[in-house]
Amino acid sequence: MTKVAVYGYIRIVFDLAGGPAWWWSIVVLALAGATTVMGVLYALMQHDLKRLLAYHTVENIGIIFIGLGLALAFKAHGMLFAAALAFTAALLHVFNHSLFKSLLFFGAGAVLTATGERDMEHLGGLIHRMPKTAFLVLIGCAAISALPPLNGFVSEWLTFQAILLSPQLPSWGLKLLIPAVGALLALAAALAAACFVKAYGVTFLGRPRTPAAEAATETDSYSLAAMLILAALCLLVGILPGIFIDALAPVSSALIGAHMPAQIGAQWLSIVPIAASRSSYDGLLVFLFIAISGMLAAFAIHRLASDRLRRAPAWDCGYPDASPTTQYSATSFAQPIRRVFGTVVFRAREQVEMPPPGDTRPARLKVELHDLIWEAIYAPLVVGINFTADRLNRFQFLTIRQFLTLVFCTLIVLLLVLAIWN
Amino acid sequence: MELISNFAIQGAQMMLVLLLAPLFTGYVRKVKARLVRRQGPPLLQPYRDLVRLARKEVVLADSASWLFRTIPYLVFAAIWVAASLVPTFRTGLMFSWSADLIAIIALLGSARFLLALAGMDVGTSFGGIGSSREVMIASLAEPAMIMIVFTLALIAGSTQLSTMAAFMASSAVGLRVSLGLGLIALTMVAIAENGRIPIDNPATHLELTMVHEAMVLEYSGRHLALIELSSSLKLLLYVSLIACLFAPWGIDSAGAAIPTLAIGVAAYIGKLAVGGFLLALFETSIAKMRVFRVPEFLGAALMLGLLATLLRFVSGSF
Amino acid sequence: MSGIDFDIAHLLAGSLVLVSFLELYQDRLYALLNVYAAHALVLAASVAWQAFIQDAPHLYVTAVIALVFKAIVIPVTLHRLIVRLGIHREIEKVVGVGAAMLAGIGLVALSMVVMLRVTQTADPLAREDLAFALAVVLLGLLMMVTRRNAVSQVIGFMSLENGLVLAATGAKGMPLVVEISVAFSILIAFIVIGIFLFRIRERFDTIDVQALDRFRGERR
Repeated sequence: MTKVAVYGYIRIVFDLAGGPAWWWSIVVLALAGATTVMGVLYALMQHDLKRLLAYHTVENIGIIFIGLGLALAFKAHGMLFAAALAFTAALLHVFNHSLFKSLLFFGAGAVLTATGERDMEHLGGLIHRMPKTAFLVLIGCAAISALPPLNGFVSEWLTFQAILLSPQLPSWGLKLLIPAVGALLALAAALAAACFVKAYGVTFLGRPRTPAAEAATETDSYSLAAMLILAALCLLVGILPGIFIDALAPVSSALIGAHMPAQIGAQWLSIVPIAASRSSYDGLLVFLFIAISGMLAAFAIHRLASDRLRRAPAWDCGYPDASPTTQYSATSFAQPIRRVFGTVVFRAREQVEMPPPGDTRPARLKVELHDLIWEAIYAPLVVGINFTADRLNRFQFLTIRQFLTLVFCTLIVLLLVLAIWN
Repeated sequence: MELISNFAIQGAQMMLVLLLAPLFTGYVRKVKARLVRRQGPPLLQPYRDLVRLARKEVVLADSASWLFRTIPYLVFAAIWVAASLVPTFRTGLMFSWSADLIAIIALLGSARFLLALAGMDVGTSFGGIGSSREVMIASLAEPAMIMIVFTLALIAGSTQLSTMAAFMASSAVGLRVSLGLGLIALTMVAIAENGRIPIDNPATHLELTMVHEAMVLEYSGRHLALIELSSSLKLLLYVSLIACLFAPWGIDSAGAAIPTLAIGVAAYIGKLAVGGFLLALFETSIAKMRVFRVPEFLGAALMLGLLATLLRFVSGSF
Repeated sequence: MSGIDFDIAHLLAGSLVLVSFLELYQDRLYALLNVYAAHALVLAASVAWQAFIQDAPHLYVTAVIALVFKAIVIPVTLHRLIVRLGIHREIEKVVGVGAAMLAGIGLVALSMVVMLRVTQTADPLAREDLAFALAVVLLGLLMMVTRRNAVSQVIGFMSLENGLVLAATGAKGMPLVVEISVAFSILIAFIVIGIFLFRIRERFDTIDVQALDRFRGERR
């Protein structure tokens, strides 16, 4: 759904608005860089699964617009080849995002159906009860964290290659902004991995925190089939990205005027965005290497090492029968990052209310977060709109004569305009 | 013939890093012990540790899942593949074009992702501490590393590690400011990523003072052997990376003659010896930082990387 | 001027910027003094290298003055001063480390842009050294602005002066008489600052400059 906005933007800026002015790219890049980091930080602070995914979409849109901003900058300076690279990277990320985000939302829906809970802090241990869903959602989480050999890594890699082409841009503003945007992109990628370790770890791993989570069962086979198709596509785009890059070439030619070199002919099905001497990536080979090394290790271990195994209670430091609530929750997992980034970005504050010794009331931890962009930009806008709407509400309660007067006056004004306008 | 010799050299590189990694860890431990006037464990002790762990029975927590049992193999595979692609005694390895430096860092990132998940899997608070601190450290160390990659790529004109190493070994590179900044930032990131003092203490097993050991607390037996081997490999990878980029003397470039290869291997082992000694010296002379001072340390590394990249963007002679 | 000379000059100037960043990062007074001594040492090396490649022997004198006074005499004196004032505690910063480093990067970028645009037609080595020198000056000012302790503000002032010396030597030709007069004025300023520090501490029992503001009698 958010891609409609991206489509509208591309259509207007790249197609209908004529030649772009180079300073537009500064605005786009600055906003996109800020959006990327803010989106993922918001996602890290959430403990509702669907809200986390929604905020994370903000980060991915930021990445797409970084690619589009770079394409604008290159196109405005006439570097069409670099513009094609940045543009293709952005479009490939749009496609990848639709794959892994849908997979993750399906997974969240499956969890909601199975347990009736969306709050991660009431879930846990679902990998034992919903193993197939857990496996497919793991692929989605790995894809969105830009881990090779899956698809998220390919579009991020292409965006980085586009950033590495930008020292050739003559404008000073861009020369200073683009390294900063690159740093923000790298920061967002690392934080996204943190976010999905948290989401997957708290929801699926560990021990169940509520009876609802304990009673979960696997979803039906239609949902599983849908998720399986998406996960397989994630892997496919990661291993054979050349096909999809070539499929985007006509779009790039139409809107930018150039396209990336044909990837089909590259050796061993790798992708070569600029020149073979400069950079190349072979998803298939990386996947094969990892698979072969893993199997070699497993083979060697099971030949040469002991294969005995026994189950025992987890290490509990001498305190018997620790309840599942002693596990890390979503809020506690995010606490280090909240402390490092959140005090500035969200004005995050933690308050602990400890009852005096002897009192049996529980202690309370309160975390306060302010969404500063909402408070500074959107909230005043909302207040203004409400105010105007209240004022305009009086138009609902006019008499018939007043309505007719309104129509009549509008007609007179339009006729006057027609008469005076030459 | 050419193909076979290239295959052989790539295979030799893979086995060399695998065999040298525990030796390097043992060497660093020995030097650290000697610097504080202890005898220290024998040099080959890590090998004996791995064999001993492999022969033991795995004790698995009741709440551990299939993911917990698979992760050691995946982590080992990812790190071994990454380590095989870093030039040690020769650039221009046969498959070096399949993954450039950004992909190598992303492979290490996926190993860390999986290890953090393993920490969360058993459902105790120790794993949670390790995983949450590890991702906090990673959220700053990885952007710093990417900025360093940008600096090096802008100097060498490529993100391919073999091309970069060959460029650094040639006379075309001068003494650039951004290279100096990059070296300092890379050392700081390497210390953070490998969990050495002052970020994390690799020798302690107190849960509240460590990051990496807390994540892998529940592992035992052959799984723990794989994880320990992976950490040694990762340390060797980072030292080899610093050596091939900033001390590229002796690296052979794309020739199969036995004498040049022998010189390359000898030079590599010499660089490992020097690097290990410097690491041990640094670790014994500084204390471990409080956890929430680590973001300042890594923030400084990120700023240095950003400054180096900025300088390269601004002018080609920096 | 051959490539390697360029590069070493740049390397030394860049190291001076790096040491300025290190000063911003320091928390404790002893460490700050040591980093300042390193700052003066790098300055001396840079000036000596400029003397070598510009073939200007009077710059060697500048280098020796920098080495003896700024790298040895002043840090030792300040060290003794700190011990006598009894302030080995942690520096209270007005701004945190992260924000200071970010501001530092912004200042370096600003000085690059300004210098490289303003001096389009000058000799490339001098231009880029001037850019680094301006960065060091701005970072010294940043230090003075973000610290509360008077001794660290003095260090900021001294690193600012180091930046000025770098700029003067990079721009080919700094007559000895200018250097001597600058050195003397710094010495006098230093003596005066030392006297003031003692008087302030006698009066207020602290040299935290915020305490001074409270006694000025003005509302904030």
